[in-house]
Amino acid sequence: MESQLQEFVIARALAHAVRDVPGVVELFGGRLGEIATYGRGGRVPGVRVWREAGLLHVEAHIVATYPPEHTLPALADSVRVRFRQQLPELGVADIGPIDVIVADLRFDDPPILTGAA
Amino acid sequence: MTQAEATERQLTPPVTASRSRTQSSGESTLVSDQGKTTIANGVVSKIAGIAANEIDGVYQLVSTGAGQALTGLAQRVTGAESRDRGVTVEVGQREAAVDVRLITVYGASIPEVSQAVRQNIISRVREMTGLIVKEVNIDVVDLYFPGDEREQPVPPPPAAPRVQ
Repeated sequence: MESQLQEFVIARALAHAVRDVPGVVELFGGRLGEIATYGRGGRVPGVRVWREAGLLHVEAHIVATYPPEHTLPALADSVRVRFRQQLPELGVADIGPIDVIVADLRFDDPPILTGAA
Repeated sequence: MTQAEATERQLTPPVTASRSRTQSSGESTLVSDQGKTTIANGVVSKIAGIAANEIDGVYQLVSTGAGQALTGLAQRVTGAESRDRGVTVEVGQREAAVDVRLITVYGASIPEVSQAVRQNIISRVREMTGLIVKEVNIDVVDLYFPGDEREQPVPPPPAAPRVQ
């Protein structure tokens, strides 16, 4: 049996990797901070990693820039590609589905307040 | 579903809240064998809100119901963004339904403004999220008269002192 990296460690690595994806502003940990992977020494907000049926499942909750460069599903695919690049480097071979949740949008300019405030 | 059909839906009364207008309520899921992509409701409503505001003849979007009125108040107090103000969405697996409440500028053709808002929402949501907008219900709740701001009461000039 090969050694298995802790889910928490994987989540930390993926949270770091997602920063390289253009169009992703940050990870979204939920309104109450409920979306996270917990482990020794802390928690990784916005990423859930768990093993199920021998496969590693990943769920990433992201905040995207507006307007998206292409489309939001395309952005989600870029996140998936980045993760699938990263996981083998961590020695994870049993990669299952990678779910991406576009949780919110981030705007560079101040909000449009047409009309009376 | 074509835009024409989506327009057609506007003429029918809004579907009762108890029945889901899209395949499944909650959030959108674009499924592939690599994993699911979910677009949160708040994301769709912000895109729709921006699309509606882009149309000439739309004065502003207004909050729907007490819940959003309170949210709107909180947003004004905290200065949080209000791009999804006046927009409610229902998002299914591949489709979305959008309701907007807005005030048009007096003089603009309401049917034409509504049609432009509807088309812009349908195409923006489609382009950015891949979701098909099944229906856009537009509620024109008021008119804005461009002269109104000038008519607003001007604070009276400070009264002359009564005593010298």
